[in-house]
Amino acid sequence: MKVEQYIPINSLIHSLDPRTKLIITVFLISLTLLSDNFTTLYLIVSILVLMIILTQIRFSYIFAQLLSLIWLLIFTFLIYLVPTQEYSLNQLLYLWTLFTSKLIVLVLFVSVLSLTTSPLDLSDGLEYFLSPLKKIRIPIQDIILIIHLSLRFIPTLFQELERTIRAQSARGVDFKKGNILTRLKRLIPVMVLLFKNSFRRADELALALESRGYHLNKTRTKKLRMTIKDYLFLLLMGIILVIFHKVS
Amino acid sequence: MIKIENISYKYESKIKALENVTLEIKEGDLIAISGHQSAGKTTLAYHLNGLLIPNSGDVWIDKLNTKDKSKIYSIRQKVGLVFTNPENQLIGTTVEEDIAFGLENLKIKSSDIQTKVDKILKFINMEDYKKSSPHLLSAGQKQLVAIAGVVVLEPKYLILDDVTSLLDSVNRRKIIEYVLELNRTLGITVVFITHSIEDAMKFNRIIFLKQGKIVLDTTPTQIINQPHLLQELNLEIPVIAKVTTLFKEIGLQLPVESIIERFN
Repeated sequence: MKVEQYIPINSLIHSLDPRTKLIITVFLISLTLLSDNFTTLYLIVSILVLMIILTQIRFSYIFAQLLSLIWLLIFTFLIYLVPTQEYSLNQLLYLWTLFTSKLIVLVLFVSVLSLTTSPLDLSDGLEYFLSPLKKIRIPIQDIILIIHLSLRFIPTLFQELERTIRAQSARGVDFKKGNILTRLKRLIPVMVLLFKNSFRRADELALALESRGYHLNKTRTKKLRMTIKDYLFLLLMGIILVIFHKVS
Repeated sequence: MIKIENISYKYESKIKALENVTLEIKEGDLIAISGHQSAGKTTLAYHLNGLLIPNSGDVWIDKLNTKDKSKIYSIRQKVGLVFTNPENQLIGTTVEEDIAFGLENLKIKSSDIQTKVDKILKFINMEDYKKSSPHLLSAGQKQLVAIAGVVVLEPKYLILDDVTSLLDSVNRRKIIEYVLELNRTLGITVVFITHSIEDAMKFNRIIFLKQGKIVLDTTPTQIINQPHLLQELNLEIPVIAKVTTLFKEIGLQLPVESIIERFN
């Protein structure tokens, strides 16, 4: 099961500072949400395509991320088809297409960020933006560590889930037979075991953190550093904002 | 020197895990602590790093008492602890990041951190795995990274809590060789906790725990010469001692010291 997102290659987007990537992603997501016509959306899609090209990751790989959206799109399509007095069917189809396009663009922007930024860089970037909250005594470093550890343990939990399902299957449990309710019932013991093991793991992890001297105000192996590339990208975003404003 | 003075410890469940344990560990020692399950080995290991504080008695790490909370980080800097399951102690999302974790906590300069990480990765011969995700490594590699993550902090004392129990024989040997190398080249004092008597025989001094008490403090040579000491305590006798006894019974005297040397 593939659960890791980050692909470590040397592309222009990979080499950007995580803070730049976070700003760009938040900025482009906001523009996508604000856009209410296809003209502005075309502009955003062209930026997205350009970014995907610059990541040097195959289009097919990035678009595979959209497979999980299919059910949501079908569901929203059915909802949009319910006739209303306010809109005609053509208008509803237009709105659904606009909504779907925006949703796909949003998912792809997030995918570009997670495929090109390692979890550590991502948490470092987040920590930078959230650090002002330290002044009001919000334990940002602890929160970031929790996010970081959650990301680190996702693959481990998936491996454990697979192992548990295999062990149960070997003892005769068939997870593929029966209706949804029966299948869900069969999953309950698996989830209980997974939770139990996760708590034990968390306990041992806390001990490991303590014994390796975890406390606040630690130093960083990699210091975040903005380069000329980052500033150019941010300048580009400013230009896009102006164009967006004129077009819309 | 680590001085354990008459410590006792009870868990919240009232289970007596350690009872009147007294022990001295000198600098440069290569010690194995062995015993059956629930003998108190892990509890003792946690006391050496200040993760557990004794109900009675004292643990001194170079004159620092583990009961003194203000000294706890100095103690943890001196005593490195590696846990049984590497999966639960690898914190970083890459090997390099995991090894750097403890150094970051010790507020070491970031340029020095990179140098130290690269050096230790070379030492464990895992430079090619620098950017790898820890969960994709083999069990032996994971344990090597876990040990490296502690050794990079340059502890004076290294406590390894049953680190070979989840490994196959090849990886077990690899880990033990690495630990012995650390003692030889860097002079790190090693306390190797294991339930395997065969693994324990590779260390200079072996301490046996039973129901929270030290029942035997011995050496591999003494075990080979007097295996009945283990038998009396219902402990497993190592193969090397059994073979030597068999040879003795047919009148052949084996050179124990040279056997141990070759064995290691």
